[in-house]
Amino acid sequence: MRKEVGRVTTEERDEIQTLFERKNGLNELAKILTPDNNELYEKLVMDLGETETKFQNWWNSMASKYNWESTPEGHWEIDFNDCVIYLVTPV
Amino acid sequence: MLKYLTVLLDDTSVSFCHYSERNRINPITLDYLRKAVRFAMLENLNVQFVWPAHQLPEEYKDVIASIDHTNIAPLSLTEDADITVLSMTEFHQCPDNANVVARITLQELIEGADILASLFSKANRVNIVITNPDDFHDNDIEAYRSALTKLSETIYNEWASGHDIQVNLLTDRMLLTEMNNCNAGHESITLAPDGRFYACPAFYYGNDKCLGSIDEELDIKNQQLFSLDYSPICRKCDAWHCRRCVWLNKKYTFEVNTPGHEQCVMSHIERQVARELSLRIKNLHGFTPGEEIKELDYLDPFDILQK
Amino acid sequence: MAVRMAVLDLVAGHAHMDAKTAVQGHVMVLVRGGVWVPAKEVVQVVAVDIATNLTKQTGRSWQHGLAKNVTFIVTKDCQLACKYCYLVGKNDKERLTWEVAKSAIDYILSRESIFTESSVIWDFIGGEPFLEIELIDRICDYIKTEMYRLNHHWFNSYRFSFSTNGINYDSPKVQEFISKNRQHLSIGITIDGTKRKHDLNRIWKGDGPERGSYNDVVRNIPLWLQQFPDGGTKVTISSADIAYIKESVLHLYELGIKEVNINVVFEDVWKEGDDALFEQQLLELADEIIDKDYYYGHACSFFAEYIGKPLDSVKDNGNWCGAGRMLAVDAAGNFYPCTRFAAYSLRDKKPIIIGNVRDGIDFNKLRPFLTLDRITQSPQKCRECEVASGCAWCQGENYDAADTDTIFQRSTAICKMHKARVRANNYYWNKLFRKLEMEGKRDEFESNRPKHNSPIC
Repeated sequence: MRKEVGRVTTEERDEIQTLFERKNGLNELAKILTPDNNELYEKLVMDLGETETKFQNWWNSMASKYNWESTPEGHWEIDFNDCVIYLVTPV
Repeated sequence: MLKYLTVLLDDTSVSFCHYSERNRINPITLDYLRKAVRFAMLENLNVQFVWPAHQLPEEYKDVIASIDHTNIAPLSLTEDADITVLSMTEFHQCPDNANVVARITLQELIEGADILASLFSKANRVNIVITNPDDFHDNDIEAYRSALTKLSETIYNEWASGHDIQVNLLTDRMLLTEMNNCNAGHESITLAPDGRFYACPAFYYGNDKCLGSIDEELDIKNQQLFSLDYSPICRKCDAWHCRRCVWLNKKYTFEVNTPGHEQCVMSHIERQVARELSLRIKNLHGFTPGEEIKELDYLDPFDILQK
Repeated sequence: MAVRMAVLDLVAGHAHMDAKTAVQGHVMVLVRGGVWVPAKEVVQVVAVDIATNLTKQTGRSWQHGLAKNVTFIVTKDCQLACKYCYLVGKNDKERLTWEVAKSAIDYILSRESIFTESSVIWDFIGGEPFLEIELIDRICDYIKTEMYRLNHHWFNSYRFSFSTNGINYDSPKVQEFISKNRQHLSIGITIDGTKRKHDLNRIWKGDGPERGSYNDVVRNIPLWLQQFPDGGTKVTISSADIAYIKESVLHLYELGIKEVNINVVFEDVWKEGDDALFEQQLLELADEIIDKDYYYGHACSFFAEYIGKPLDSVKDNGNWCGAGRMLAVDAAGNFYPCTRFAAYSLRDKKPIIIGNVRDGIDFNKLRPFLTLDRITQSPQKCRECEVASGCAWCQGENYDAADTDTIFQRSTAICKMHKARVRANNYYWNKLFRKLEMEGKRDEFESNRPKHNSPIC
């Protein structure tokens, strides 16, 4: 089941969308970069970790700021189109 | 609506604009000339004949005399000319009180603005035509501004001494209250020695497509595109003195209704210097000729449209 | 929901045990079909994004149509010889080389101050682009690596887009490429509808008896939909196809394609009576979609509520397509404002080349495209048209059909067809809304209706 539980600002949406896109980009880059490419490979490894952390921090910080409704089995999702946060629970 | 018919009497007819005429003599036929005169009468057009330096047969002159007209001619024919075209080497021979076209390269203008300024004391009106506008680039902006500023100083001095010389690049904008451009293809049309119509002589000399012929009909497809209303950049612009050269437009952008960056920038530098000149003349005469020219923070109106 | 939301842009928050305190849960993202997987394994969340040139009616263009579109014309060859194809100069000689592609990428990526759009769509077009899958793979790897190496802002927002005839979609090389770039792919397969409609136009190249390509394409549709469940298809209608519109759209729905984007060809091919036949087909299609409740899960671009209204000469003065805001490069290394201005797309006009990979872009050549508006290029009848909205045009076709060498003369070859579409569209919405009201579902429909973005080509 999917229920609207809140909304973030467009700036906040932009932030998580950029992180999301970057994470995807890094993941796919990781498929083609090899350790031979010293400079980029090291940068990528660090970047993956940092981006993952920023991504998680965003959710933590937004959850804290907006105090969205939650359930033990549920999770939240964001619709990038309209900044709406949904609580999704198993039916 | 068409108002003017320009008739090139020969392939060597003197160039009064950016283009270059041809070297090989090839006069318009008498038949075409007669038809041109008749066409102008029927369509109620003002006729401008553009003369070559060499002599034309007497019967040509009889046909030309059969209609009220304006003569654009080289210096050698200045006695009969309404507008005399001068190259840089001829500036010192400028007739008194003449209406002249002064053709000069960009480099000559930038490096030798003084020579051009020497015309201002003799002529009543000087139309400065840069013969190689292609050579203007953004790194010439300051040099061009500087050259025009020098010219504006001479103009100011002439006005101060009671000689209100008109110089297209600088005084026209001061005096105008709306766009006043070349309007080739919209208000004027050219008949070339080949009996065909072109938007202006430059299209003929550039081997562009014709717009019909005197034997058949004038056929300007998409004529609206030659008009100001159909130019998204120009209709928002207030560089009213700009030649808005449709030939350069076509050359730079492939479209007659769209000016290239360089033409816009040059016109806006002229507008800027005209603005400064108008402020000085206001102090001189106690009034501003025409409307006040507002200060702008751009040189290319395209940039504003994109915001 | 009548038409599904743009799920491609959904991302989950963290797996939530206790939202106030939990930080240890995996980051989860939604994969179509409702399966959730830990982020480290996620490969599919943004996989579904059909080619932007297919989405103008549905409001699903990526980044609202504001992304820079860079198109590589990788080949002018195709296995098919579709009868309505606008590409008059197809051949198997002009193939993009790696050197030219690399030069184009280097030029573009080294000029971040010029290409300031926040996102980019790297588009690969043919002919049939997947004929050059090895080159494409190399190009995409280079793009990704270079965007990252240069810290280019596009690394955070890019897609690779393809419009394919689908014939070699299941080949190992194409599949390997898809697997490798899944999260950034947008692939549309063109299938025109029923076998008889598809095979009417989309035939194999070559001498001998005509051979339709339907069977060779349709076998790949399940795989494609499995990988791109929201994949849409583009259907092109010319005069001979009108009678098959209804059955074709319904057939595509049956195949599992939920988004069918259709346009009539812009060329002047329409015969007397075509508009009436077209209208009749659309009316019958409208009845089917409404009576059988397809509108809840399917979309057909013929029916859009915004079309058929008068347009304001000032507020609604934008150009229809993105010509000039796109950049296409061909095998010779020439740049075009859109592929439609390359020589192989033009019947009667010279190509409009706006630069090349060696000298860069001549920005003067772009000025007409970037200042082009609806009113300046439209004839009086279009300016005054009371059903003007949604009436599309193709800038390349306008240029090709114009009386002079200009992009400022709008072709009106589809005028009667648009008006027929408007009438059918009015019928569709009147009928649908009445039905929804009778069923008390109008509010539900309104709250889930798709958003419309600015049209781009």
